[in-house]
Amino acid sequence: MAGDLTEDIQAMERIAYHMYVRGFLSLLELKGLIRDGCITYQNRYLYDPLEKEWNILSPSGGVRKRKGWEYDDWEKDYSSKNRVISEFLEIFEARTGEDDPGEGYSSGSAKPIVADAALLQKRFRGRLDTVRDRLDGALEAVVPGKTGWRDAARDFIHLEDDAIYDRVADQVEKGKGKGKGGFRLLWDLLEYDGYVFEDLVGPVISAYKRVLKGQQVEQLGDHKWILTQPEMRDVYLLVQSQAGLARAFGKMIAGDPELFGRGLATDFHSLAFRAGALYNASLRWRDRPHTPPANGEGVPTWIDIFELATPGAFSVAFHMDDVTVRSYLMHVFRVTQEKHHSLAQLFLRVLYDHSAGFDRDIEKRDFLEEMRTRVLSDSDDTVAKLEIVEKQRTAGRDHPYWGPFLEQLPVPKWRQLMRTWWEALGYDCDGEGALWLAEGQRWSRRIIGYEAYVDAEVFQESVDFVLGDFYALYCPRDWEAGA
Amino acid sequence: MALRYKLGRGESCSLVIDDDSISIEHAVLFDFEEHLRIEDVSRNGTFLERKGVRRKLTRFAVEVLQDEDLLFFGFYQQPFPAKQLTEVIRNLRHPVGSQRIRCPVHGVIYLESKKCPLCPK
Repeated sequence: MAGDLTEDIQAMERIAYHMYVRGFLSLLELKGLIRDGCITYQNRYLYDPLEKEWNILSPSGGVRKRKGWEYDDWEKDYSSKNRVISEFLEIFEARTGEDDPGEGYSSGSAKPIVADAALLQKRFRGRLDTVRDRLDGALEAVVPGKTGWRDAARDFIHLEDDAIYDRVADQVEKGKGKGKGGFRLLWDLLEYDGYVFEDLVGPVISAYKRVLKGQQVEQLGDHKWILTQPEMRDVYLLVQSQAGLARAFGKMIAGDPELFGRGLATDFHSLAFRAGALYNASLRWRDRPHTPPANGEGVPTWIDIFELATPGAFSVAFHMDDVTVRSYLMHVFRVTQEKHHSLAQLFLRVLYDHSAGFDRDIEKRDFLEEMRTRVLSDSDDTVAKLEIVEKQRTAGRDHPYWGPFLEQLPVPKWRQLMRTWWEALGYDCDGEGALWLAEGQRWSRRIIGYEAYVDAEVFQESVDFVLGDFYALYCPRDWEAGA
Repeated sequence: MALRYKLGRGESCSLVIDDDSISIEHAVLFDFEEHLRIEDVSRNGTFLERKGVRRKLTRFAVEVLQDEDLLFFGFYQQPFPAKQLTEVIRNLRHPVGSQRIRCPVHGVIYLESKKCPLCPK
């Protein structure tokens, strides 16, 4: 199953589970993504022993366990399987079947460990000492007069956002012209995520996730007890400092992108560029969705979001502005899913409807071949006038999800999209035969078992160049100067 | 190696003649380079007219055809010249089912030019 997923879906899956582990995405949101088919169920994050206990204890669960798992309405579900998600039934089976759901499931058979506070402490002990220099350097720079990152962080997290911004901006300016200035120091601190443990679950981890998410003491509520552990207090200080820094950089990107660009130009930092471009894209998506690049904007060297976005970059972006980045992330999930399932099918449906008027399959095949030749070889103006291309464009504009994008797609890009689609279009036929026409007293050619299809691999390979607009992943052009 | 073409009323046949007296799979034509052969597999029979003499073909026996032969299928009175059938099947770009043969031992389908992958060499 995992082998069938293409790389971008896998990349998004990694991001989703990382966000879940860090507490940015809730379990409910994650389950929603699984239900919509954006990601697959993975035991190593989601296996819940308590849930299984409940299944056995409840009357229906007990009966189901004895009888073995049966599903009544499988035909209906199977027929709509392509739309739902191909793994959905198997997930259901894996979770409710007689066998141990951990066994034989391809998404990783490892189960998470239910952690207590002692285990968490043990895992974390001594980790921060290895990066002490990095933490000291960054935090002492923004809180002068303090020695040691703990003291500095204690002061730092109580500062107002404006004050933090002033100090960060000051650091970025100061670093100008140096090899390793303040900008790089701060981003080195932001890059640290040694406190994330992906394989732990349980009530302690629920509380720990609140800390990782960047919630402050007063927001922790019932989970405040976790701060009684000294190691957890360290994590709290560190995450709060990182969140404060990230907010300041977020403010800088929104308000003074030139300054951020200057920071990148002097001390280029990969995470800074990634997180900055993501946050910029989120802001852009919120304010001006579906718009082509403006004058000062350029497409990053990374062509699409799947090469640019890392879990770490998204985490920092989440610290910058939770709401904006969350809606952008959900858009990226949705567009990835739709790209794989609906875009090519949308145009294929038009072709099917159009060729339904033909009496015989051989006419459909001839039509397909002729149109493909014309789209790929004729001049763009001639192609645009073709009836089928016109119909496809109308259908695209009427689509609830792709409509707003295709509406604003510039003409050359639209032609590129069409060319990509027709290139990927193919057909299957079992063979060719002949039919005796009694009236005409002649043999007429026919084909048997004809079916037109879009080769998903070919289509996906080249469609990203067109859909770059849809991801709206542009950044100010001068940001890349330091890269 | 010859290519095989099924003739009959069924949709999966290479040559379809839509008449009630013709079996779903009525006859099999073998296209050897130099001539065509025919095997009757029908209920109502296949008839061969050569030099004015019409006779019924033996079921499951392969007969060599000559260009001037006329074929009659079932009770359908239309004659089909062997030469015309040869032309029709040689004009097909992707002959249906002609390359596929089911191994009688293993039941697997393999290309006619190759041996069954499961049978000992």
